[in-house]
Amino acid sequence: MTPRRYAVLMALCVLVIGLASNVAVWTAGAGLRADFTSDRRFTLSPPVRTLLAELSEPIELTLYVSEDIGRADPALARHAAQVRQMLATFAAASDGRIRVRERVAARFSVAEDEAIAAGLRPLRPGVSASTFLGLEAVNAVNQRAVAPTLAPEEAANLEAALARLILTLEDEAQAQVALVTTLGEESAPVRALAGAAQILPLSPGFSAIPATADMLALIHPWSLSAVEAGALEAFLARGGQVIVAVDPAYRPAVADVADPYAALGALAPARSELPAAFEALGLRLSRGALSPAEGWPPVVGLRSVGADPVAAGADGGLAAAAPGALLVAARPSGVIAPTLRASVTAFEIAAADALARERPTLTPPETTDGDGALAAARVKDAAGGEALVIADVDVLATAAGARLLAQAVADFGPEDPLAALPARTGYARSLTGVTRAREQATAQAERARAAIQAELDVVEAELAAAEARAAVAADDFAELAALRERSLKVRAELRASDQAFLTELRGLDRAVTWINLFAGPLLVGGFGAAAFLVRRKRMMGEAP
Amino acid sequence: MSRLVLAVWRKELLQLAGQPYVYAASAVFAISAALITLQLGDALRLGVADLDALFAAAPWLLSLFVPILTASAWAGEARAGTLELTLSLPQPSYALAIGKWLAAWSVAGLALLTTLPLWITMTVLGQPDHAETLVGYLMTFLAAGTLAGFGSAISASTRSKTVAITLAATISILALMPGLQHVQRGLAAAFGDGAADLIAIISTATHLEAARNGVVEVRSLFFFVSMTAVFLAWTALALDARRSGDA
Repeated sequence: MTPRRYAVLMALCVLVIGLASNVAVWTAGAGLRADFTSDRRFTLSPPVRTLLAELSEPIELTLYVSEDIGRADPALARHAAQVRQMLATFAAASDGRIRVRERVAARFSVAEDEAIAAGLRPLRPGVSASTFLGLEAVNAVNQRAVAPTLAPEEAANLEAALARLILTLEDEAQAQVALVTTLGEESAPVRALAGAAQILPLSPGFSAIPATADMLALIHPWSLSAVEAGALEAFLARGGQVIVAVDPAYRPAVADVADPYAALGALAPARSELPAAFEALGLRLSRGALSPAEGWPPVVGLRSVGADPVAAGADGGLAAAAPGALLVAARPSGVIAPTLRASVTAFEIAAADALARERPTLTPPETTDGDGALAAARVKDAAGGEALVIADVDVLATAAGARLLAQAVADFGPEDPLAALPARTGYARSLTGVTRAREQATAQAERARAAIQAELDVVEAELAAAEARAAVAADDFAELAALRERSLKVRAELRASDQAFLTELRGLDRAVTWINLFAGPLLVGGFGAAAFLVRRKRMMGEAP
Repeated sequence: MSRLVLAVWRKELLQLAGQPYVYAASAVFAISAALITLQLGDALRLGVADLDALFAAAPWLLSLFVPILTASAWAGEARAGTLELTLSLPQPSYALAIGKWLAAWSVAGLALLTTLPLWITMTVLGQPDHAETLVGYLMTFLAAGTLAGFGSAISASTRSKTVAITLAATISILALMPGLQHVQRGLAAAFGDGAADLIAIISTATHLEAARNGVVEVRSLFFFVSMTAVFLAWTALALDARRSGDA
């Protein structure tokens, strides 16, 4: 055999051995991985690891993803990659009992039909009716469970959502929560609750709380009728446990909030309260909302007080935009324990101002002590019924709020291993600098626009008045022409203001791009200069 | 042995540092990486502080860039007529192979460093997950090592620099394809899910997918290390064959 043939043969052998060993390691080493993310977002919690290790039968998870998932919203493609990674983590921890497959739900394809038939819903109903990202789980006896959407807003609770889906097929006991809400299934507070328990939705007109319900949640509820309020009282009287979240100013309810679910939020009322139930609990909700004494928008920090582990577990990240204040009324029996208080600088603003996002007039809230307005409290009545009352709904939309809700479910409900899973901080880390610059530029442009618009309004009012006068006085024509000219000038200024705003934003994008385009080659040049110096030194050293 | 390898590495590194095309290719790599991350990846408009777009594009850019570095290692020497002299030195083939591969890998690593301004930009404008980014860089660096190994093996198997670059780049890019979701779906439709998964193992993109999310998979580490070893063994065998042929 020639040396060349020998080398080719040996190289082929080494290549085949290398590939074969990789195939073996790929299959056998699927579970060996290390999560280096700073918040360990792909490290499963102990209850989930136990659940996966003790699965009674194999489960096939089918992820339905739209072919053009990144087209409607480019961030969705990144989120889909994170969902895939979490599914791979689940599969790796299940010792082969969970198999993940992916179906591309292209428009009008068989896969899309299958996704819809399985119960999946479009991810962005208001934006695209054909963007799907959802999961169907099927076990060996063909039982099915579906996560209709795996929205980016739900990323913080993805582990819990997937685990709950699997748990459904395992027929394990889960906390059951009867839910009274005006919010859609896709709203963040309802999704957070769904991540912590199995939900039994109640429709308007209900007359009793289902006997299977372990607890009742009233999240931004409608005004309860006498019959509905009676059902709530009866539930509390038999020792039931209730989570109540009301809001004096629910911002997604107004159309100008940049929220993909604004359409769903718009169905919800701007204010929710349960006066009769609150009176029975010895509480009252403030008319206005809380705001910091300085600064805008009205974001108020909330801190836990007392020994309630439910709030303490979520402490540190709790903040709310214009939350309400709970006012303690005279109460014959029962115990009210403060759970969350607003920062001491909180002042009250009119709820309408909070919704309109206008700089309001601040007044001190109606609290009896100087310890900050009461934002949440736990109430225990004489009959053994217990309620956690939260004076803001938006707070539940945050990761910390979702954690608070999960801990409340864990505290109130039956033993559910998944109830107190930690909520992650969410995957997407935003470019806060860019967002801040955009917000500053937007605010600046809006201020300039408002000033010019005010001037335009004055000019147009004067113009209208002058035109009315022109019908009777011919001398006013010169003034009319001057006003028209000024009106046109102000409109041009308005256009220039908008243009300046856009130019400023584009300028930021361009500056960042150019800096990075030049920085790379400059570094290459730096390496070249260093190499030149080293070579020169060597050559001079070698010279006699 | 290590001294021998280091000596070859130092000599080859200085040789590469003296070649203008290395700087040109590195500059093109840096500009392409910045353009892809900021323009195609639309990082600023997305408003997400991560370098996912960079790590998604890195295997493709490296598949084109690394063969340029490795082609001169052996094919370049063969063309210049200095290969016979190098092979006549009393050094084992594996030391030569490892030394030259290390030099190409080092330059690829320096090229990756030219994308650091992107990381700095993300840090200035937001709060990226530094651990996740570091994992992305380290795994991409390992992938560059495997590609450098493959480029060296191809370079040692041919006497033409052009053939070495073309062949290494083409095969590297073809090998990336099975990691693409579209291709994977096609393969799954044609051969079934299991076969598609197996074919995807050869793709560097498959092994970087978890790393892009900050997760290191042992099987991916094994892939990069084992395949680099395979390609270095291939290089050493090719050099041995040349030595024997010349003898």
